Amino acid sequence: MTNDRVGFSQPPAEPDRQVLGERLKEAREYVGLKQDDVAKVLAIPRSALSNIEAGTRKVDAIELARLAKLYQRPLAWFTGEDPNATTEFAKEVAHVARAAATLSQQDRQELARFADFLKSRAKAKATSDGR
Amino acid sequence: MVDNRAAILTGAKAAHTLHRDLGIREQIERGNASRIDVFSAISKLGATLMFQPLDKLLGAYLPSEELGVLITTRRQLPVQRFTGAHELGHLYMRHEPSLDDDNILRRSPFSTTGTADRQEREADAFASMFLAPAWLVALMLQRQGWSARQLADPAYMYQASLRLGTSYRATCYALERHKVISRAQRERLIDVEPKQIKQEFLGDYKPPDWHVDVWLLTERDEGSLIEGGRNDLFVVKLRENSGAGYLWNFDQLRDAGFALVDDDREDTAPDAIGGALTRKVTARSEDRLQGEVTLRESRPWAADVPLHQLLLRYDLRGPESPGMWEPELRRVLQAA
Repeated sequence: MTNDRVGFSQPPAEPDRQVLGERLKEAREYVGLKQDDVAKVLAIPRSALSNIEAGTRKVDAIELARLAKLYQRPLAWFTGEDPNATTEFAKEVAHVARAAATLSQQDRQELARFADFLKSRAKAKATSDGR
Repeated sequence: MVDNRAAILTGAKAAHTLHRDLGIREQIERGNASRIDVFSAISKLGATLMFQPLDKLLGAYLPSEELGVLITTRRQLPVQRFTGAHELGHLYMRHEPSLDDDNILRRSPFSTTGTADRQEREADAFASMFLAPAWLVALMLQRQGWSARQLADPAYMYQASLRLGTSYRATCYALERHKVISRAQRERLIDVEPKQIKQEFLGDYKPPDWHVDVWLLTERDEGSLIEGGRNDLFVVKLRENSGAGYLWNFDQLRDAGFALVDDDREDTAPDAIGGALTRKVTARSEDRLQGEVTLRESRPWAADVPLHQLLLRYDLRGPESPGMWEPELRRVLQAA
């Protein structure tokens, strides 16, 4: 039924695909979507989405675009360099984070993730508006 | 402290203006709701609303390319709502970015002393006035038929806090501010632990978790929307004309996914034969339930001709769990 079954039983995860899968999972979980909901939108079985996130199934370009839209991130967030490497605090956040000297590690991390999500969402919106 | 007074006034005025601009009063009256929908307001002002597990922080307001409000998932719904209202204040008054810990709960919003900076003062006053404005308190008293004297009783004050969706403590302060209770009454009330009040409503029944709320529901709650948390408890107390063969039927509640944990009858007039009893049923919501049920008081042999009925509408999805605010997430799903 699905392409990846043709000729192969279960292809081993390629490193790139695995990274992509992890980012897709991270993005999905961050917005609070369940695998079931996402699979329904893509019209694929839940197990297929599970395999995508594990890096054992290919994602085609159309699927990736739809996932990016659903998770409200620009495509580059998934395919570019490690998004987390560049998420030191955005300028605005760094300013308040400095002011709150006692900020715990976890809070610092959550703020950085949220600031990154806001940036992603703004970019994702800009691209979809421009079309 | 002239400055503090000015900040309080600015915050309170902003809350009033936003109620008017969003038509919140009309919405409450039309929808028969009893709480201000603070999360909707944040969303309507165009901010991204996110819930995530925070450690020491309760919330944050981050205006960048995209306006953002972040709220912790590690607190109960009233605290999430209060934090939301505080961040909404920052958002609406176009404040600088802000990280807020539980000092926002401890600060008294209407004290003119204190060291919090001006924008925090404004947001504090905004939050209190936004969640418990005078008109909403008056509407609640009228709907429930509660007198000011009754609200000096912790049991009524606790029930008022559930209707308003503010913490017990915050509700005591709000009702003092609106002069429903006196300062001395407020001081006595805040000394009472909500757990003690809950225990009184429940009698012998011990809930698995004391964090849940215990709603006392009567004929006065007919048609109104009950907004609570998953696993909240409901003590439904209704007059039953059993002398004339009429009994309240609670099967509908069970069918809707509630567990009936206690069923009791109290004699309201022990001397009268064939008089009315008070039926008291305690139900526990098992999950994040949303919907409505109609309870009927009828004769078992003529169930189609009820003497009285009570419509209960409920939304027990709180507190919010990690992720984007659910209604917004549903919109995203539908657009995909």
